[in-house]
Amino acid sequence: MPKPSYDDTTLAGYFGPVRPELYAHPVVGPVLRRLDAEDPDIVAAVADVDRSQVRDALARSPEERLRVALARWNGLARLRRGDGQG
Amino acid sequence: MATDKADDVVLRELAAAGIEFVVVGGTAAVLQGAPVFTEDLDIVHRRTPENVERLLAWLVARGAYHRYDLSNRKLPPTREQLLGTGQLNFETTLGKIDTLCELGPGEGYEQILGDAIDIGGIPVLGLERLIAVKARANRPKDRATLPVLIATLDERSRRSR
Repeated sequence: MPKPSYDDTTLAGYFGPVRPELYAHPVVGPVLRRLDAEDPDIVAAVADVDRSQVRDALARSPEERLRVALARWNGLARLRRGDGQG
Repeated sequence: MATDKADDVVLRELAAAGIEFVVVGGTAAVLQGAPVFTEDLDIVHRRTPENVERLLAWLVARGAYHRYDLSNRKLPPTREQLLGTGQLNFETTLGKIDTLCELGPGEGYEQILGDAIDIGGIPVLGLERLIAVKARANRPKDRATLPVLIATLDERSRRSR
């Protein structure tokens, strides 16, 4: 996928690597260090996650998050079944 | 025949039936703000005889059958299976639900409940433990979701600073 068509400063607001502080987390820190050693592509891929989607999801209530996810899933399922037209 | 997915309905029904469980997997991630897709609802249920009886009754009422059966016999769940250690994959009238006796060896309901958070009265495995579980699972499917889960935790901790 090509890079989104925005300047670097803008993109830095929406994409970024794991912050170093997360490495100090008692549960996730050891996991990150292990992934760095065993499968560094996974940690590197965090920088490609569109944080605008994460922020949108975090702004919703848990019930809304589930509803939005289910609506998307059901929409895709209907499309796949061929009954999502019109 | 399964209807559209309705995990919220399933969760409310399970809780209303007095079934003790912890939501794990993709639905747990979605509930905590991870923008991911998930096809089934995964729960780890408490394996006391009383709780298994309640879960079995709910599953039977919802027409549950094992969806992995090459002979397509639509076999219903059994008490013994729900009291065991396996991961059971059912189709129900409310969609797919996987009841996990254990998340991993020795990780039953009692062992993971301490890492669950309460969301609307329903215990949901915390994102931190979920990340650790997915990383340990070592399956491409699980690993593929890790960047989004880690970014969600990162974003959440950034917001709480």
